[in-house]
Amino acid sequence: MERLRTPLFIVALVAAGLVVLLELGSTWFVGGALSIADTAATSADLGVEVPAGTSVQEPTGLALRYLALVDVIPLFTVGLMGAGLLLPDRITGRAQSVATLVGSIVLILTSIVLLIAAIAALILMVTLLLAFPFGTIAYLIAYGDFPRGQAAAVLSVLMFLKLAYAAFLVAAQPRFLQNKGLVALVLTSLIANLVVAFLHNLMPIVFVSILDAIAAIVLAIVAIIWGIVLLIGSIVGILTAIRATASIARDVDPSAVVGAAGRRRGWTP
Amino acid sequence: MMRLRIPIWSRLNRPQRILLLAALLIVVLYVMTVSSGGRDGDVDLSKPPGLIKGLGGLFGGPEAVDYADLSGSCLASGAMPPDGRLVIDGSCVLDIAPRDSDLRGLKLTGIDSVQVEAPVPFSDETSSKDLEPGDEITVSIDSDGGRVTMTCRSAGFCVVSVG
Repeated sequence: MERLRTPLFIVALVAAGLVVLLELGSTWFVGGALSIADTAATSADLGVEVPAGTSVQEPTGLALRYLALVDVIPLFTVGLMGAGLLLPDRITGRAQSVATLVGSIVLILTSIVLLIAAIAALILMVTLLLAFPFGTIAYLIAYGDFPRGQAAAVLSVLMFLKLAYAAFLVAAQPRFLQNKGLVALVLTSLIANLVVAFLHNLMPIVFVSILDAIAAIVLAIVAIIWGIVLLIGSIVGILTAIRATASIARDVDPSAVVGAAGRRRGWTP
Repeated sequence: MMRLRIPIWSRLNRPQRILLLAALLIVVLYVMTVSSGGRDGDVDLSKPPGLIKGLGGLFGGPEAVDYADLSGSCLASGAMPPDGRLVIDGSCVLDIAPRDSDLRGLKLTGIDSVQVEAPVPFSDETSSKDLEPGDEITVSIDSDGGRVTMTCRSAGFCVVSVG
């Protein structure tokens, strides 16, 4: 059997970590700047007068940060495998199921909270946009100039890192391809990138903030589904471990134990 | 005919080849999506796309402003008239009290020509809109409340219907 090439595995792990860090820190790169959008002109098109020079800030969006909900799962999974390189099998074997149980519960709860936040943001945006004309102006000021180019740049770096991560993982140990769960996770992560990019480019820029919130909702739901899959897997793992321990305990011959203990205490059978 | 040989391809089994093709397909679709640069063009915000309208229908509009939250010189008797019609003598203000609600809507229908100046929700700005007879607009009010100023566009009195 081919051995795990540790340096390549560590590179894959670092790439997966960078993906999550970049997603969590995306608000530093995307949006936040004062927009050059001419709100006064757009407002005039709507038949509404807004003072010229009204400041408009580019929205930071939700979907890029919400990608971390999905991408943290392969990082966690590979991180657990990586823990096996540092810790003895005895410890990692027992800890994996428990860590997955705790991790999946945290993921599900976090995703539910963020799902509710994204739905609330979406409702607010749609309500503002449709409350013509004063709400529409408010929408234009707060959400109307989504930094689609910056988001595409970050998404492209993420795509590169995810492909690098997948390639280095396979290069480290080709048998990872037989791990259907891990393969499905990596494919989900790549598809999530594609979905966000697709939604960002689907409609004119004025509506992209709404589509970005829809993408965030989709990502939160995907994370909840994966969280449930991991939760079930970890519960099955824990139950199997408990059964195996009980079975080993039953298989030990009680008379031999009594015999050995008795001999130590000076009894004779 | 020369046969193209890809070194890695021959070492992969069938499921691995399918996976590789799936990953390639995702990358190609991604590159096509991003390189398209996104849709642009003129947008009529008074007629948003069907998807947005559908979402609006799903969520429902903002809740209506409670008449009890209204005050100001537009309410001559201090309360909303039973027929909802405000008679404006040149100009008047309608104050909407703050409420613990993200967004509320105050529907105004022009009976005469009126200029409506209202706060922009979640912003320190105000904007104004000319209302012609028969025109209907919804003034959006955030949780901070706000002041709506209505000015007749012709000398004398003018009428606006609320609700």
